[in-house]
Amino acid sequence: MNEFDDPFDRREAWADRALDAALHELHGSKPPDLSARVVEALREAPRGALPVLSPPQRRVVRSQRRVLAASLLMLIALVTTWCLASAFGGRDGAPDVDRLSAVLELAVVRGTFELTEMVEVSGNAATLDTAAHSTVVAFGEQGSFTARAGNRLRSASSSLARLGPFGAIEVGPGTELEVRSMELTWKQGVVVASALTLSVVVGVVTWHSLTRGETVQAGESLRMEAGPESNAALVAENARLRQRLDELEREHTEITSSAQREKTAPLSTPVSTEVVAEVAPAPAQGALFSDERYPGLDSIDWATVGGVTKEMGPLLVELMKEMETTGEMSTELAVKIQALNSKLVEQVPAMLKAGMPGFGPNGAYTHPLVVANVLGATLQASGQPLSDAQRAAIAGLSRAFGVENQGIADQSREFELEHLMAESEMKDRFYKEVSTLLTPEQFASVYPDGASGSYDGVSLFSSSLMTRPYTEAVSASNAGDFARIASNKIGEQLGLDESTSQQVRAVVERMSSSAPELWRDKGSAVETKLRMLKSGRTPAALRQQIAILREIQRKVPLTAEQKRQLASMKHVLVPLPR
Amino acid sequence: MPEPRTIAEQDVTRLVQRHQVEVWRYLRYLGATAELADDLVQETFLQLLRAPYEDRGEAACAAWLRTVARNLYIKAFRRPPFETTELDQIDAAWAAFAGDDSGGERLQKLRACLERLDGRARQAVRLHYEERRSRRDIGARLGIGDDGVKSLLRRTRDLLRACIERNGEGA
Repeated sequence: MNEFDDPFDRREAWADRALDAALHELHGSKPPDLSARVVEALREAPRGALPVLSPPQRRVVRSQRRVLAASLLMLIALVTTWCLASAFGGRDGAPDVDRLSAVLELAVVRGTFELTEMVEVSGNAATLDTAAHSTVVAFGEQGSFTARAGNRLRSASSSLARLGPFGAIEVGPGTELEVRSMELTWKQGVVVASALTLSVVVGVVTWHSLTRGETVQAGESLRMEAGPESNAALVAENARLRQRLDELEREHTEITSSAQREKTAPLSTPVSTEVVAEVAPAPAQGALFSDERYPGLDSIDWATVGGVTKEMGPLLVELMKEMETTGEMSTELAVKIQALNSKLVEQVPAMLKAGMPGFGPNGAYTHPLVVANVLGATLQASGQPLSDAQRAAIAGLSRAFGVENQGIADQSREFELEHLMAESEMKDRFYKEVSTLLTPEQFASVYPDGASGSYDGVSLFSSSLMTRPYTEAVSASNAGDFARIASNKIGEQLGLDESTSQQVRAVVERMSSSAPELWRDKGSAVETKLRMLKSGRTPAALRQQIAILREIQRKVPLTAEQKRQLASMKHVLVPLPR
Repeated sequence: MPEPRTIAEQDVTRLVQRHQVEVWRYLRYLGATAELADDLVQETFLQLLRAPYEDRGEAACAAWLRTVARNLYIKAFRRPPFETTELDQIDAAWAAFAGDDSGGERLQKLRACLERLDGRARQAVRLHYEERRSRRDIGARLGIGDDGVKSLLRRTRDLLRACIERNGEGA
């Protein structure tokens, strides 16, 4: 849990823990403003839009208290009996906690997963044997995985899947995960999976959920909690069931009326083969996802946005691939892309007018609500519109992430770039979440082969759309070279004298050389000529730059004005190794 | 009997903004991750706002919120993350740290102390808290083992605590 488990004096240990938390806070883990989130949650509360403050309650008199206490004790006894019966329900009445399990739905969005489960092969309880039983769940399929300690998930290639209520897991090639434990809780009369711990035997896994994301490597464990996203899943499930109910009712009506027609029609009249019309997909003209706070969304031409995005996605991939192969940019492709992009740019003023919060113009364009609409319109243009269930689930996600977006926009931070980082990380989680709700065909339309995880700007459904305008690639052969160029830029911006510039340079060089991940891959032609940086470079450089700015502020004597300028820096200097 | 009254949205916002920092810091102090703390702060305020309650003043309201937050945090685990017999020590250590401004003054002093910190201690703090590197990684950079990193961080925190007690003078 944390590192203070063996102190002699517990009070001292807790005082140490208070300082530990304070240090985390001073280094970036700051308390957020959650007021918007609370208000939003209250609005969504089933019992009404706003809370009600009751007048002071009458004090409970002692005799009433005794009755209450007795009732409570009885309730505790009942619950305890049930819990004991459940926990000790194994063979011979022995505790059976190791066998605690839940069956989770695993929907593969990319790649393939092999599910290996230990199954009992002998009926003899004294010498119960187990054998491994494996099933393969391929791209686009769904499987059931029993999350019991010892069961494993393997993937030979890089794969992505949605796992029950826990969100999505993305694994690297040759990854093997083993279930360490499964935690279940009792909610509203139903046993639900609340936490799942996986240990990484080989490889690497990244967990994406509505509010969290974590990457864990071989030898480490990943504890996934069923978060608020399960609400979105429930909304989606409700919508799916409602849709199924509608379908069944339609079928019933059709069968009844057919039977009626057969009874009444003359024998020579052919039986009508007319089928009741399917529910028409939502039109793409208006905003598919709306929010009363942003009425301006309806003035955006979503049909154009969808059509352009659909056409532009594959062209961007083609441009990138051609550059990778030939080292030259295709002028014809570039002109086509530019023409399409200008149609998107025409919609930006309307988006800005809609008042969406976000870091810069593309911050509004990548706002969860806008992204949901772009996605819906793009799929509509591709002839694969979102189903009602998908719409319900995405509406829930965009609402929840929209609140988080607002919280990030409202929060004050020491450096502007912290804002950019918080917002882009949140949006990456949103894109991941939404992508796991798509069918394989829809996914392929939105993320053409090669668009995802290659270069910033190749995909139109990525937070790099927001960060790209603020990145500046600095071609450098090593950390010293980068420090020279970067400190000159910072020095110019802040108006530093020679001696202060030298101090800045020392800080940049020391910190850049301590981050080997920035120097691992040499810059490619796509990066130098198209200014599309490899995915992952910008977030790493952004994180490092914030640390550098903090160190400069701490170590270098700056005037108040220079400090203010340092805090308001908006450009990310990304090392591009030569 | 007075009628129940509805709180306007701006009052909800004000109420949350008044207390959220302390509740969040308290949860982080108990050991919650930042993400879990966010979720539990939200749930704590929802419990306050959904249930009828007596307006008992700021201090009592803050104490009520801390208690609810703590209970929610404990409920987030299969086994309690700490012994309930420790609650007195937990709250005493928190009260000593938080003072009457949710720990704001202590954080200021800590910031001043950090600026005076140098050498390996400073490096370890930066790598651990700022760059969130693992102990193994920090150890590799500083040329010491995992346990060495743990001790170094512990000693540094002791140093910082002593500095805070001296009102930020010297680390």
